[in-house]
Amino acid sequence: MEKRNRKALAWSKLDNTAILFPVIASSQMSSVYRESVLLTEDIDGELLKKAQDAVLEQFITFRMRLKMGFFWYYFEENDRKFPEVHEESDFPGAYINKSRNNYYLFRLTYYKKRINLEVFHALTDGYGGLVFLKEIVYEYLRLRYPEEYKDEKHKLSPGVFMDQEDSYIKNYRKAASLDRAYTPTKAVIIKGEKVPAGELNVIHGYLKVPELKTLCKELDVTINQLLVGVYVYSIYKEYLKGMSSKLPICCCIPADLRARYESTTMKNFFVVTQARFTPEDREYTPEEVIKLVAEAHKKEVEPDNLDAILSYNVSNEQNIFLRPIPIFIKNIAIYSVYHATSTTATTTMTNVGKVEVREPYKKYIQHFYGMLSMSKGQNIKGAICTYNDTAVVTFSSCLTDVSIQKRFFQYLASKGLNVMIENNEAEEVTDKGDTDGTLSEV
Amino acid sequence: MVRCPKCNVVLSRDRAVCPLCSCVTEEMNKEEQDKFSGLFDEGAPYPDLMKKHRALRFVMKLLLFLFVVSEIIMIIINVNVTPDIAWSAITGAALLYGYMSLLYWIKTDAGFAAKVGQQLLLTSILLYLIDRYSGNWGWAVTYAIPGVILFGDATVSILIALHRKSWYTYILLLLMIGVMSVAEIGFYFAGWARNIIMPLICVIVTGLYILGALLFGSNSALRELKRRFHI
Repeated sequence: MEKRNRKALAWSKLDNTAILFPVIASSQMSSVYRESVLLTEDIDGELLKKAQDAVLEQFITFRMRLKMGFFWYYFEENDRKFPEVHEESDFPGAYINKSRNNYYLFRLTYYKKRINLEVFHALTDGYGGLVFLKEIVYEYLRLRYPEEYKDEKHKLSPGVFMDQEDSYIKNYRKAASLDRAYTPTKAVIIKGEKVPAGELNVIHGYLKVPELKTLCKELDVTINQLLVGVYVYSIYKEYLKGMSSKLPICCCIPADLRARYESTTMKNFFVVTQARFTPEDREYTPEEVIKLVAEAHKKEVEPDNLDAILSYNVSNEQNIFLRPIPIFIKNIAIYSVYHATSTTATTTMTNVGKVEVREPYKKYIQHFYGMLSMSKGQNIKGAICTYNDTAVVTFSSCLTDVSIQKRFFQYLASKGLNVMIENNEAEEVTDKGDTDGTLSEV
Repeated sequence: MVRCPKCNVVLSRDRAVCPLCSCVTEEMNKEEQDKFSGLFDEGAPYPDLMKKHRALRFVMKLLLFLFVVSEIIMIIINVNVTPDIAWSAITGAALLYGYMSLLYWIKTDAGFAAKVGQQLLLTSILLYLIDRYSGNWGWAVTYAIPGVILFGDATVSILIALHRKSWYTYILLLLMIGVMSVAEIGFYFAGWARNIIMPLICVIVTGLYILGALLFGSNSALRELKRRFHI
């Protein structure tokens, strides 16, 4: 795809969540998330580039560049050549250097059988990224197996929305009790020796959904609640050493708002809910922690609370006295608030959800993965992605210590679940007989 | 396929030790392997990225080393040859400015216009500070900063010539240079600049430039301004 001629390039304002990311993004905190898909055969880079170009031509959400105005950042349609597709050459979630990426805000890479889509969070959330990635995979498979897919048309799947609505603004209502949304209190911050700057420690754990469901039934919780609960318990046992703490372990859990507000937007539309657990001076069993965390989170995701969080988030953006403040002052304020509130969350666990794939393409797809990059104060994060009865839990961390991840998977294995582990230590290192367990030691 | 006897998890690749607990792994028998292969298909290996990262880090450290060594040499020469004048402070500031600019251009991915704009501002501030702390002769405000402004005008011309299709994206940069030009006139009336010739040339050149841009590219320019100044 070469440069296109257009009279006037489209533009749009950033949504409420997106406003934060251009201000805080850096090589250390990239604000980039990764969604990957593992196919059954090695990826052909040239075909993948063709597939990306064909899909991108139809997807304006991903064809945007970020520009700085005097009062706000904004998106403008990018008329430069589409970005190159490379073999994976950087750590997952690495900062997207826009000027070296033709100013596009996403990156498509591949390695062996895996395709990685990395997206700057200002553009869209995990839902939007997944829709885009699936369409690229469909197009790639159509190009890779033209005979097999000769009846499939080279166009986007029916039912894919191109909606660019800012659903935050559309559904914002002045909340009666904004204080219900956030009562910022400090939380446990996981500290430790870090891997070198720019690197990331990644561990995938593969779990079978039917086995998870059996365990959930025993504990009377959902899969999400179970995995968040086990994660919080692992932090309690490994970081707090099972001791009491004045500060809570606070796990952020992004909640997709599309279903609640009947939105079909391709832009960001989620709020961050929290599950808190403050250990008192006694020993907790894993099951107790799981139930306490599930109870705490249940209250957070009550519809009224989601409304309140949404309204609270949008209220500042809508303030007529704040809107005309020049961007460089706003940036300082946003950066300061972001840093000040970075001590209020311990970690994040996001659930990308159950990925559905169109029937004709299923046989070439093995797994889907989600992965989060680090943010201020959160040195370890988790992501869950389910496809075809396999849930992949991915922990990304900038710490050398992996004891929280160890406790997490050990617990699930101790309950009789089959667990398979994979990490991002290079294959070549293993072949040479280097048996170091973590990236930092290499 | 191997299993960690401590964690009781299976590893997707044949590793000697478990990546979770560093326990030595054990081989799985055929039956177990078949069971797991059926359960999870296969994992997704990662490439070796260490070499690239090490090389980049080395280059950045080497540059820093060279800048520091250069300044140490300057200080030694300064102390031994002309101890009465602390000119090595100026070279130090210039080297620091050079290094920070290099980092900014390499690491920051703002647009070209934003980078040029910030560079023009920082250069003006540096020149002013050097003048201020080396006798306060006023050469910075009278000649050097107007020179930076005219250099900025020339840079915008080149950028517009190179990116004719999206020339309007440089309007904000042009406006910033316009503000700097007007400030120069202010500096003259405040008594900081020794004569008005250079500030006047800046205002005329930049003013004509902005006027031309608004008149000849009215639609594109207005659209760009509307976007840039949206509230």
